[in-house]
Order: sequence, then structure tokens, then C-alpha cells
Amino acid sequence: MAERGGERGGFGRGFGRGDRGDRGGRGDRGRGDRRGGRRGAKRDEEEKWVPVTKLGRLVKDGKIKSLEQIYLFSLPIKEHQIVEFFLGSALKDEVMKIMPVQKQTRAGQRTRFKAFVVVGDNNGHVGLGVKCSKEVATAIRGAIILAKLSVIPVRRGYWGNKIGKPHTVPCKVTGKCGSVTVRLVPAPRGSGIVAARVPKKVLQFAGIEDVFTSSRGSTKTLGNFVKATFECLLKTYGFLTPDLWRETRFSKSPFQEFTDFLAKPHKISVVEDVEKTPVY
Amino acid sequence: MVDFGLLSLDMGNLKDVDDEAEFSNGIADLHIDGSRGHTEAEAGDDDEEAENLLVGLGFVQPVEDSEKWKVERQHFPSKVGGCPAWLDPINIPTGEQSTCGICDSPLEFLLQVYAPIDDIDDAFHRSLFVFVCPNASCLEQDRHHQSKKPEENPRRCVKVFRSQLLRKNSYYSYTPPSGEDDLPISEGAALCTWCGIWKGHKACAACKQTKYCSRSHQVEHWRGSHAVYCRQVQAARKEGKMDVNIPVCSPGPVSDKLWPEMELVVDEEDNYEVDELSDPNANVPASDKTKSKAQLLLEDYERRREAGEEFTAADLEDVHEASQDMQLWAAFLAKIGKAPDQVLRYCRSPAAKPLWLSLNGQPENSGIPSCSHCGSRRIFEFQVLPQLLNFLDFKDEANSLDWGTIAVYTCERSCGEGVGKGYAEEFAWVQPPPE
Repeated sequence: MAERGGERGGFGRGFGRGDRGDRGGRGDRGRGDRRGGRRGAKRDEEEKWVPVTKLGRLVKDGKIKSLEQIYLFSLPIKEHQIVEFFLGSALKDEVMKIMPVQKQTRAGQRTRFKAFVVVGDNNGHVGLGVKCSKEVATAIRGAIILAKLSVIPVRRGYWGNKIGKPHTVPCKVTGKCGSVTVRLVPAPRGSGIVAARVPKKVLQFAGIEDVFTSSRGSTKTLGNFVKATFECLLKTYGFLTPDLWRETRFSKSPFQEFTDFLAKPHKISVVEDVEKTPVY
Repeated sequence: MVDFGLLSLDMGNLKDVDDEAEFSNGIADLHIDGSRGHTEAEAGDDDEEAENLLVGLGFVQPVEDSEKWKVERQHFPSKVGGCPAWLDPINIPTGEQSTCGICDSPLEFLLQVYAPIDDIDDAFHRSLFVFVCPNASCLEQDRHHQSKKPEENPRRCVKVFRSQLLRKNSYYSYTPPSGEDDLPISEGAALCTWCGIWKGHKACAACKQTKYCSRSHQVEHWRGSHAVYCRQVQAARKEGKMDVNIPVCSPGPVSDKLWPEMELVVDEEDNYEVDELSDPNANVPASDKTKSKAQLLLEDYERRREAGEEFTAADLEDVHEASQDMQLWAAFLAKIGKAPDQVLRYCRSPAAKPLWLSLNGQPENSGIPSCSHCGSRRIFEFQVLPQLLNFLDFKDEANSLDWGTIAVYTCERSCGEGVGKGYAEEFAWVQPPPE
């Protein structure tokens, strides 16, 4: 660790800062054992994911088999790389809107940009993210991450004959948020998504092809229409239909031995084997 | 280079703006659609605070066998795992200080940081040592103890010790060490053969040669290899033979439970700032997904806008930004995203604040006790990040230690009062992982 540290007569500085942490003294850059700051070099390699949560570490090690296993135990997903790990390139994202937002400050007006991004794999997973930032790029990136963190599983079923792939919601489901109640009703093939523009986009990305919607409450003014739609989609897996009457084999949570984790209240939202999708 | 300014966006649905809007000038003239008085939440806006404090980032680097000398105490290292390179090799913490307050087993060494302070002569050499109990359940209970006042005798399982020396001292030379062969000028106290961390003041009654810090380590070593060796020594003594045929007991540490030894290297956070728009060095290679992705999405969006498919502000009126807690978390991810493999953030200043992961689990303003030795307040010095857990190589990941961050607060004066007896205990606050 031989260094040029002036006043230290050759002793290294380690983590110590001669300038008491202020940005003022920037002159002496050669202190301590350096890695060599990589200006711009960050772009040369694919950013390797260093997990920050225990679930992230388990996922990266390959100990978790699927995203559904995480949903089964209602474990919070805090890292978007977890969602990317399982859904991969199937996950598409789209910017719904970039909206300039103004705030009145003493020095005039300050404009920031609010980005709305929807992500989904058109096959049972959808998420929505909103981020406001001074720069458009930052807002978009932040919104993508928040959207991935909000991804929920969506169950699909049939309207009538069980031919082909599931295309609509499995049953009538209602979701409520604020003063708004949204009801999703199964529709026959070819009906398309009969819904307002934003919920329609969300349902499309979830992989629902046909559905009727109806809503109640003050959607014009203080509405939580989109959130209510999300609540509906969350409920699709919570509804017990005849094909799920087979007995459940409870499987071990990834954290089964973690006793304090078990002590926390769970809502078990999936009442079926994780590995198999309902066989019609 | 990609220009993300909205100069090229034709904001068709804006009232009063027909020409291309120039957002950099004349913002006052802009009437924005949805100017019904949007007051957006400030929380989590990563561009907001003008940080004028230098932050040093710590990264782990494996140590080659041939370079193991670099992490010996005469070279004043910063390191993770292995045994601590005690700065003061004689007055090592003992007794209650060295054990977990909850389960009473000896603490394990997590990392040490060499952080001298220029303005204080006493602290020409200054190191901080962090110890944790490997039991995850102890860490759970520690959460309740860390918010207790000192007079309530909190029992901690995460402990930090500070040691400092004048340049002229009896342990190390006045001039810096030059290389591999340099040794400290005096020997240190004998350490436990098993863990190599704490003082070995207890000895094996049978062979009288091997030293231990605690009964539990003696038992583990006995079960390991010591039983065989000890009997051989006893037999040899009985017959009057000495040394010749006796296998030498390997010098400590013998334990295989120590965490992998790595060097802790420091770098300025500023070196990892990347200025999106004006960085001339970034050639935006094809592999760089996120940035060009944002650009692709933006272009796609513009295309749809031109085709008239855009959503209005009214459509999205009720889609709100994430909660405060989520925004704080997103801000944390964004900050560490600049250098994702960082394991430590160092910024010693009264104005410095740790980078928290969530709203809960933060200490109250009064929750940081003053220095127990000299009474002055304690200020933030550094925090250990959860990324470090990736490098600690746990055998049973599901039950292993987990933290959000460990924030270490030290005496503002870096006082000599506590250090007079060797090591001064400082304060560590553990924020649990976010829910």
C-alpha cells in the first residue's frame, strides 16, 4: 500500500479522508488502494446483478424454480432482476405516456417529466410503473423498474367450450379501490377487450384477449380505475373453481426453516400445486 | 449521442403550444396540459439533493495466496473475513465485549476498515473492527436491543471497536513497511488457536500448549484435530521425549468457519458517475440495454403519438406514483446501481446520512447514543451493505444472516479516552431487510 500521501510520510490512507469529507479538496486523487475508477467503463460489460435481498440471492443461485413459487408464498419481490430472471425476453415494456409536470417554486416554475410504463409478457404477468424525474430517460428507467416490481400473476380461463388456450377471465371478478368498483366478466372469443383505454392496455399486456368490464363509482373525478382493475386481476387466482377442487399439497416455502418468517401472517393466494397449471 | 431533451417531441395535446417546445428556456411561457395544479411528491427524487460530501465505496477483492502478507497488521489493511489484523495487538477486547450479548458465544469477525484522521495526531493510525454473531436469531433479537438507552444495558450481537495509534508507537515502525518481508516491531498477544480472533487466555489443561478464548472453541478444536495431537504430546512428555517426534500443532486459526478472507479496496463514488448526455467516452455499445432501451421506448412512444394513439392526462389521472417507502427503495437501488458490487459506503461527517433502504428500521434522532467514553456525540462514519452477504459464502442460505444495512457511528472527536485501554466500543445500528 505504498502511496504518495504527502503528510503521511508514505503511509497509506485507507478509507480516511484528508479533507473531512468535503468535496472541496479534489486535487489529490491517488489515495489508498484504488480499483481505478471506471469512467464510462460501466458500459463495457453486461451489468452483473449483485443481489441485495435474500430472495434475490436465492434466485440467483437457482434455488427458486419459478416466479409462481414466489407468488404462492406472497413473498415481496424487491429486485426487478428477479422478474427478469424468470420471464426473460418474453417481458415487453411500453411507455404509455410522458407527461410534463410543473411545480411552482420561488425561482419560477420547475418542470419534471412523469413517465408511465406498462410491462407484461402477454401470458399471465403484467405490471405498471410511474416515475417522475427531471430527465425523461431517468423517469423512463425508473418507471420500468417500478413496473417490473409490481408484476402480478393473472389467471385466465374460458367463457364456454374449453377449446384452445384460455382467453378470458376464469369467472366474474370484482375489484375495488377508493370509490371505484370494477367488474371483469368473461366474454366469448372474438369479443375483444371491452374496457376504457388504460385498463384495456393493462389487460392486453396480461394476455387477456376477451373480457367485458363494468365500473361503478366516480371514475371521472377521484378515480382509482386502473388500480381497481389490478385488484380484479389479483383476485383471479383467489377464486376457487371446480377444476381446483383437487386437494392441495402444501409445498415448502423457500424460507421454511426461517421461523420468524413463518410467524408473520401470510395470505395464501394460490390454492393449487405450483408446478402445474390447471388442466382443463 | 442521444438527445433526450423534448425538443423533438411535438406535444400535440398541449394547449397554447404549437411550435416545438424548448424546455430549457421560456418555461414560464409554457402552459402544460393538466395544469390543474399538480403537486408531485418530492420523495425519492434522486436528482434532488446536491450532495457535496465525498463518499468512498468499498469493494471486495480476493487475496492471492502469494499476497497474503498485504493483509497483515503491519500493512494497515482494510479487509473482510479471515482473522482481524488487530491494530493494537496487545489490548484486544475480552470478556463480555468479545461475546454475543444474546447467546454468549464468541463473536465472528466481519470486516475492518483502516480510516485514519489527518487532523488528529492520536489517530494517525486508526482502524475500526466490526464483529457479528453468526446466528440469525440473535440478529432478530438485537433489533430490540439497539434502540435501548445505554443505561438499560442493551445486549448487542453486532459490535464495533475502534483502535488508534500515534505515528510513533511501540508496535510499528515510524516509517511505512516496504514489502513482503516487513514485520511489526513487536509480537502480539497470543490468540485463540481455533478462531484466531480473540485472546487466548485459557489453555488446554492437558498439553498446556494450545490456547483458547473460550470453552466452546476448546471443545470444537478437541473434536476436530486436537484430541489426537494432545494425547501424543502427553505420551511424549511421560516418556521424557520432547519435540522431536511430536507433530506440530498448526498455528491458528484452525477453524473452518471463518468467512473467506478478502481485501477491502476503496474508490470514490464520483468515479462511477456517468453523465448520460454528455459523456464523450461512452460509445453506447449495442450491449448496453438500459440506456438505448429507454431511447427505443421513447421512439416507439413518439411513433404512436404521431399516429394519434396517445393517452391523455385524464386517462392516467388516477395512476399514482409508488408509495414513499417504495420510492426510497427505488432511490437506494438507483444509487448503488452505479457500482452494484459495492459492499461499503464511507462518509465520515456530522452532515452525512446513511443511505437507508426503507422508511422503517431507521433510528430516531435521539437513538444514536453519545460516546460512552468522552460524552461527545457520535457521527455517522460508514455503512455495510447487504451485497457483502453474497461474498460470505453461506452454506445454508435460507437460515443465514440477513441485513438491510449496518450503519456505524463513531465518536466525533475520535477520543483517546476509551482507546487508552486498547479498544473503544462504538455504536452500530442495523436496519433490517426491507419488507
